[in-house]
Amino acid sequence: MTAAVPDSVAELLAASLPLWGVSGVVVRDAAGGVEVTAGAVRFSIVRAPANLPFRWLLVSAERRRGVTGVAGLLRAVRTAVDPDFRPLRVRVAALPPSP
Amino acid sequence: MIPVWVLTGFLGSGKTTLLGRCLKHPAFARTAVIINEFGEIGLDHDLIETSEESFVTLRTGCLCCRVRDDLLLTLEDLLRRRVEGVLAPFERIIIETSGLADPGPILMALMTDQDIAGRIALAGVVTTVDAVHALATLDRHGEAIRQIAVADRLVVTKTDLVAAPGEQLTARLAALNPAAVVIAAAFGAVDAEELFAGSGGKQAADLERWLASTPAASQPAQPHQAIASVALVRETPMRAVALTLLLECLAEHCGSDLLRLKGLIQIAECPDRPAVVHGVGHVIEPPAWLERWPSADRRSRLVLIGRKLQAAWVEALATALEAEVAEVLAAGQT
Repeated sequence: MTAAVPDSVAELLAASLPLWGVSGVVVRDAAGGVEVTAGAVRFSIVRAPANLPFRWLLVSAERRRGVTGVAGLLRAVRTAVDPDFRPLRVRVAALPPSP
Repeated sequence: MIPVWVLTGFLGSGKTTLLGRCLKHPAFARTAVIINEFGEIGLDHDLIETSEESFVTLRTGCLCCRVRDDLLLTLEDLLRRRVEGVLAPFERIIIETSGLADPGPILMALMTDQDIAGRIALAGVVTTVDAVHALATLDRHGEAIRQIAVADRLVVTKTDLVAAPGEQLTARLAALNPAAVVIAAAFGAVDAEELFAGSGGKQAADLERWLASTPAASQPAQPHQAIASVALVRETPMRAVALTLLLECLAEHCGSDLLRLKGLIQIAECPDRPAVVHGVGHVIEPPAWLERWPSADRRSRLVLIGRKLQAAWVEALATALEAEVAEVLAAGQT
């Protein structure tokens, strides 16, 4: 069983805050999740229960939000910490796996 | 589809001289030319000898600011007259931008406009660089930096006025755009056919050269410039879905700062045919598949050029997405 949030995702989140120009920290919690703090914004990222169609949950004092993968997680985290961010509405079409 | 080349370069860097030379070449007989001149009185087109009917001068303002009004309508008109037989069936279009143009909006318009999609294809960007004044220009004008950063081919002009492109300029160009082919030109003399050959970065022969100049590592931004290149290299094939997610995340989180993206990717589901990816800003073109690998090097290589790009973030993103895809696939097999 992998950690609640894999190291690769935790490292990505830690690298993302400076890219977005956001001051904050990303730290591991005891349960293998991740806590993100940026100014007054604070939330945890935990593995979603198996009965939910999500991979992770973003949990703050105000709400819980499910995300299905890394791309969605990045979008949700940036939306939470970067007030200037506007999610891109256009999606890249799935690459055909062969010509 | 008709290949469209964008010829750009800062004011006085020799675009028109270069174009004039190229158009005298017999291979360019079937070339339509659109020249954007900044100002009420255009001079550039008088300096070029070519057939008038396939020649359009836009004098209403800078192309990058009036892409929709001017450039796309002009292209539409050219294509319509070609179909109607009013114009000779040109086989190539060259757009010369004004010296102050930011080529980004022009490239994005060419890649995305629904009305001309399917009839033209952006073949590539040729940027002229003045060997005498480029360093000073780059220190002062962001447009000049962006013109170099998006180029497929850099033509260093006026080399007849200097002993050789200085090491400083060579290093600056390599830092701004390590993937571009650099060609030296004296008096605008270059191999015209080679310069505007094929369909830019998607031809195997062109890719050979491009791959040879792909940086082994990312190039940090130099002083006085905010543009850097980031290289992502993968020794093992990528899953198609991982690449799709990677491109989506790059477009979403770096799009406004991403001037150019180019890659040759080994897809795990089809490892013998490399996928070529190409993007400008938020826009990623559908991948083109090459028939075969252009060399024995089958590593996936993705080069990004833009502002505020961070190699560590791109690497972390690719690693996280690949791990996620591997985990999902493994879970599906159990």
